[in-house]
Amino acid sequence: MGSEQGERRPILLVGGEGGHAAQASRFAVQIRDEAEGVMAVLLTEDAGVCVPFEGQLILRRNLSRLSKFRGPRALVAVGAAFCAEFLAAPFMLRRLRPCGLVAFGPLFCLPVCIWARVMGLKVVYVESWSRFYERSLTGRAMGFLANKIYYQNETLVNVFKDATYAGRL
Amino acid sequence: MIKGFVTVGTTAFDSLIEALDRPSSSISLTFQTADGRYVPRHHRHITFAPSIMPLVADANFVVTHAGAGTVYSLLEAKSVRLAVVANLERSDKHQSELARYIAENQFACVLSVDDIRRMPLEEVAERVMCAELREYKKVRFFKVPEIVNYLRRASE
Repeated sequence: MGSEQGERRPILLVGGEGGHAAQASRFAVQIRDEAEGVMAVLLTEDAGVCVPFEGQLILRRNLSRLSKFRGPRALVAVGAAFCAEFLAAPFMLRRLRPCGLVAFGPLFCLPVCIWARVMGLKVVYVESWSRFYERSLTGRAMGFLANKIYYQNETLVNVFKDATYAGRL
Repeated sequence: MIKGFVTVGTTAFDSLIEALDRPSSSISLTFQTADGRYVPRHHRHITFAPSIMPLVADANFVVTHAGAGTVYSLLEAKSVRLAVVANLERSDKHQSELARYIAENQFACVLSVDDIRRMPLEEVAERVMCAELREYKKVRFFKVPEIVNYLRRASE
């Protein structure tokens, strides 16, 4: 019974926009090719880079664009967006019932990751493929939040002590 | 006429567009400008494209921001003569890491906006098209089965 449930429940991939969404999208394609019978749901702000993706796609507000604001406006805009995401995330997770979550950044993936942990789900974080010499801000936060961390560039071997090298998407 | 394509991905990079937007009798550029405020005066421009690949295929050289999604896609396409420019207008400076990696490995010609401003447009094109480069190779992501099994077992 438990095993059957695990097979039916999708893996939730969270990738914001641009390169983050592209990584999630490539990961989804590899799931299709390498993990038979596993369904992926992609939560992203950017449908443009997800053309090869054939699973379920959930588009959300374009939160990363808010980062272009500066000063007090940035704090208000980002704070409000974070709160909205934080309030919406548990309902989305209850509706999707994923078996676990793989996050690709950016910081706006944190609310759904926090709720996933609260709801007892495992969270895997894949550090951005554009990081070669130091952790991203999301990578630092995920050090406290994710159950497992993978990095894509071998140059990070001494930066991530408890993470696993995984090759590049 | 030499054709160039300039792409900035999803984030505005006005200083790059402005540095390249100069009249030329031998070079024709197409800019993909995202939501930038600068409007090119001397060359064709679009804001976004569903896929940049048809525009890349039509160009003799490409100048791109150092966004990893775009850079890796173009390097994987193999035959693209490519210049990478880190977008330091962004609040986060992570593009400089990828630009440094590309430069150290000679996968593409890496320029700064200041470099471009200092050079005539024809020299920019020549630098990109004549650069001696190494072939881009990567270790393909090999942990998908491990991650999938981990998540599925944990939910059983």
